[in-house]
Amino acid sequence: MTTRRAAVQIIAGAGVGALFTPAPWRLVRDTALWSENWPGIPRPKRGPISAKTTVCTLCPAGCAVRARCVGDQPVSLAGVNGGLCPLGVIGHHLPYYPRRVKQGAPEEARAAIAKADPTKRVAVLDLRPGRTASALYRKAMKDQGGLYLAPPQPGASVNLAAAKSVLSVGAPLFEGWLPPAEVFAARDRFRLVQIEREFSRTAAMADVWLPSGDVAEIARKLDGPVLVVDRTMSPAIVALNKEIGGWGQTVQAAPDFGADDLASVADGSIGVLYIDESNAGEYIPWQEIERKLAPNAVTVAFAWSPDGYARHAKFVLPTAVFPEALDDVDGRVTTPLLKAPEGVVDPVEFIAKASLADALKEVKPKEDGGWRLPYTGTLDATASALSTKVYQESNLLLAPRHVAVAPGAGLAENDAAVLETSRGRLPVRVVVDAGLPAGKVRFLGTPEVLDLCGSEEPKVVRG
Amino acid sequence: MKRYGMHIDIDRCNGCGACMVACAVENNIPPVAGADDRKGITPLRVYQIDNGEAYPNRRTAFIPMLCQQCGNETPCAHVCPQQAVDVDPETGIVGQMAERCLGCRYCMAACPYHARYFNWWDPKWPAGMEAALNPDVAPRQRGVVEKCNFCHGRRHAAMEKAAAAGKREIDPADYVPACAEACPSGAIRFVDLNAQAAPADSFRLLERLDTDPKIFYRSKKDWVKRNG
Repeated sequence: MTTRRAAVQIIAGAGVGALFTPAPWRLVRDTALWSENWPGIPRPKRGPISAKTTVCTLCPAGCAVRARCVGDQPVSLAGVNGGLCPLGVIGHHLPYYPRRVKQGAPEEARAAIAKADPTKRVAVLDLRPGRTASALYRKAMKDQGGLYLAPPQPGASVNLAAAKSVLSVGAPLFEGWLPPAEVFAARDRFRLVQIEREFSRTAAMADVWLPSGDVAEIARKLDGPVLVVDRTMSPAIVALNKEIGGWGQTVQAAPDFGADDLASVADGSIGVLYIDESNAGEYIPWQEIERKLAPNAVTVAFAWSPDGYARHAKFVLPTAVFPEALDDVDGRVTTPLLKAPEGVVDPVEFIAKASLADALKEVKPKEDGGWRLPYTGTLDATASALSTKVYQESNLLLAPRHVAVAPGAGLAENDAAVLETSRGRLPVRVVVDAGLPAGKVRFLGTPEVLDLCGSEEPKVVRG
Repeated sequence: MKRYGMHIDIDRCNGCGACMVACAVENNIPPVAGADDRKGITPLRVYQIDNGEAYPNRRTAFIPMLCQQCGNETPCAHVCPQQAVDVDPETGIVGQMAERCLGCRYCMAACPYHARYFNWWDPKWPAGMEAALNPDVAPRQRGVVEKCNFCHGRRHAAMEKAAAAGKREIDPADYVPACAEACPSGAIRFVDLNAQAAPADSFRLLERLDTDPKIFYRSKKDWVKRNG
């Protein structure tokens, strides 16, 4: 008969005995391995590794890019001639942007365009002029008696490599104004004097920073060849370069993109407006465009992100995005690394009824004399889910809807506030930056902020 | 025998963050909506420092901070109860084995550089983005500590390439961590310290702790050196 004592002895003996077998240890190990392989943990794709090269089209710098691919899928991007900017590094993530525009109604857009007021003009706003697609738009508009519009371009091209001294009047020289790898490669060969009210990142890397100064007098004292720059290469700066002998050496005329001047277009005269926003470029505040539109004008935005003109257009048609898109920068044609998803619309085919692929076959590489047209637009650093590293998980960049103010403005860190102009108000969070002069407000130039500000200096008031 | 380390020129860093983003891409670090500067995983983080003055005398600089790969009495390796941290005698690289880590975070407390990060979340990517993961690095589950390991996946790939070519030594050009490769300003340089000694005017962070860090910083600015 089994007694209670015997049962306890059997159970205890089995427990102790089991410790001398591999079973419990295997169980612990297998449990650990199982917990490390939850079904929810993604497994990276395996396959043959290869390298492909292409050209980054996320800004006009057009950096040469080497993509490491698993099969046909790019898994990392690196610069061929030096490093890339943060957006370039994550360029292969853009097709997976959670808020990407995926669907549109091209047939409805065509029907609306067919019904548009024939007495009004057709126009294309090309955010990235100078491409082969731009030439096709321009020709199409010329044939139809329409307008080819582009954002204002800088007043001159610059040759940084030819300069021994650079006098910058607030130009963000090291912040995407010129191709990052090129400007850093040339850095040791020129002396930089930065005149800027704010101690910016470019000011931090300058040899001399001056909050203010007599630009012409300083320029004449510097060792030549001297390059004088401001953000837009304004006529006054170009004239100063000519005066000190830099014309043709460090500064030359900007390429003519043959665009019509938006300011001179009659108000209410545009009946159909196409906006090619498939590539980032300088953003024109919507109010400046809106007043040129006729009542009931048809606006069609070709975009992959919903954050720009897609907020205002009647029709938003999805486009391919780098690295899916076929395009060219400065005579260099991209090699699409990914296939564009179903449903994307080719803006060139839609607007100009032409084949971009055929036109790109005629593109010849340009001779690189070192001349670069500065980029005055904003890179959309929020377009990848991983961009949070630079504004949310660190304080390197201002996050969207955040503004930096100087101490003493009556606002504390992370206060809720309102960015205010005569055009409206936008709720923001405050970052206090002791490096800013009193009264100065720093903000990220996102389309919604640019729409609000235009050329106005915004105020920040307690929310 | 290698002794891998970095030379970082603070005066050349403009705080663009390309290194941080490249690190996240290389190491399959998932984006997390709720991550902030305390809970985010940034094995390499660029800190903005200043001289403490107000405008217009304020000056700022950027310091890329990563695991300093301590070579002497490595604090994190000492305290790890799981032996999940090891110092490779062949390279001097301080490695972290996520499979062994139980998430006690003693190593985080011990690290004088705050260069270790706890993984608070299960790894999740936006739909479709899993296809763009780096095949050389396994995503880690939540509950483990992560740190810079000088891109071990790249080192293994370089070793495989060397082995395939019948060589014992890897070609230095084949092994460059993602941050150094991405840096557009050339501020971050990955070197074998046995072959390329640090410049005489460079300094190391918290050198008085005598942990023999292998990240050497340089700056011509006195206030930056004092902060370092």
